[in-house]
Amino acid sequence: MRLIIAGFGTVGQGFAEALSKRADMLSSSYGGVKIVAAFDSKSYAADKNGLDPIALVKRKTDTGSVGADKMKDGIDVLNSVEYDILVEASPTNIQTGGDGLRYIEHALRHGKDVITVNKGPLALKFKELKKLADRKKAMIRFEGTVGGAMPIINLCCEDLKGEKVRSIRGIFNGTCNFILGRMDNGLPFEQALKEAQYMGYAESDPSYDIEGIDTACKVVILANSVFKRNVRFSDVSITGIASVNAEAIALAADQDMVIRLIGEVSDTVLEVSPRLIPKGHPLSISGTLNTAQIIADMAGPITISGKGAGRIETASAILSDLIAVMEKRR
Amino acid sequence: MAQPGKARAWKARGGLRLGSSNLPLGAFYCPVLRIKYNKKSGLCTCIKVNAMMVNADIFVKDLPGQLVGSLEPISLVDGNIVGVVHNRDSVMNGRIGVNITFEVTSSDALEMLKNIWKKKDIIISRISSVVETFPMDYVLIGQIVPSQIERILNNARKAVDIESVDVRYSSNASNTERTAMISVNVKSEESLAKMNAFMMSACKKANIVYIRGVEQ
Repeated sequence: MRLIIAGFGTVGQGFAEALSKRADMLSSSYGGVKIVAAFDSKSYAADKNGLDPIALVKRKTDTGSVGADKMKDGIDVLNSVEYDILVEASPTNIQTGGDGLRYIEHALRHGKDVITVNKGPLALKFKELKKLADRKKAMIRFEGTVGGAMPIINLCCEDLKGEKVRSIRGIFNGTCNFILGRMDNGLPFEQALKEAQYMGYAESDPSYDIEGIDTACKVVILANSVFKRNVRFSDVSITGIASVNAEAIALAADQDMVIRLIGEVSDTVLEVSPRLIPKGHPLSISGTLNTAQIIADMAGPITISGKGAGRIETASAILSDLIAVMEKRR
Repeated sequence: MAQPGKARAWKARGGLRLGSSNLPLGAFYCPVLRIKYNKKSGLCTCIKVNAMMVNADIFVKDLPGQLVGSLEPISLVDGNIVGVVHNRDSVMNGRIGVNITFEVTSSDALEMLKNIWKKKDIIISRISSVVETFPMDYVLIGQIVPSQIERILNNARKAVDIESVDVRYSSNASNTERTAMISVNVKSEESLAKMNAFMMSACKKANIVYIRGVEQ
């Protein structure tokens, strides 16, 4: 299988490392995988015989660029290299879908399979991309877009295929959960946010996380993929955590409850908001973990938990999608 | 006798035609069902209504037919038997202990049942009842004054069947912001959905941040 990696930031590099780690298994079970091109925002590297994943990571770390060749548009790379699967890991843009959306559309239009961890394109144009993939008999997989290493989409769409999933409620943003967990310990919101930034969990502009935008993107992806709804980011009712104050946390604690930012989706609900959760409930966890409670009609409640972000954790989700694609293309 | 679970299943299917052979006769005597008849379509829909859950320990004579004799009056008061444990180890003056869990629609029906049992020489050693309610908590943050919360709750009572309400305020109120926690118990799932919608809309109008609990 020939791969192109679009976007060589933290996740792209993590995936290259994961490929190197699993090279023997991929070779013995699936005949091997080679990276025929990789590009970031400025440069690209390409070799039809395959690039060394670790050398790509080293070059990016040392020079800030993945390749020696300058690049204006990633589409040029997609047009000039023969490949089977596009692994799309460029930065999320929730306003337009960004370059990621263009790369995905281009690859699908040419009948190539796509694996993406980019929430923007899916939150904005899920149905269109799915239709395009079906029309071109290509696959689009996106396990890494929701919950990082926590296998929620494939669990619901494949392992629970015989079930009617009634609802999914979960903590899908580790940054918010870290902040709210620290507020449980008495920290005011501003200080908890600063601590999250110091620890590297929150960006210098944390609005994407604390305003609930990141969780809303994930809720849209779950609604469209698991519940087969046709919704967009703008359909989600969103309340962030910026207005949660110490008094609210104290009042909740007095009643043996905590406040957590919950994304909820069902056939009729599409909501992101801070919610009161009884202590001991599966959704009352602290720290940066993600967790989700799936309510299925026959199996009842199923709770999963895992690392929602991170270099190698998200790469693990891409790898599972890659193997799923290769299984089907055998 | 029809079971509550079955009633929900019927409701989900959108009701049953009157006189249809697949409608168990007992369904009409089940208190957790209310039959809603639609003249136009000829359909009747079974709806779950509020019921009082009762658990009772009674002692019946150790003779054939006594157990059935103690259960029949529950049907007579339109009750619905949920569970029966015939405890042969619990013997008192030649009588055997029976623990029954059942639903009745009102305390009047329960009183009627107690009278029937007494007439039938059935000894009631313990009886306790619980009305099933659905709890929900809300935290409200904003420029809140108690009279405003009172107004919101008075309006909520007009729209929703509320069983009980408890309001707490944060002790650390600043000039600009106050936090309140409202705990309510409502009588049905439908009321809970109505209450959530009401609170969401009322808080939005009053520019108050609203945080609600999760349905269990």
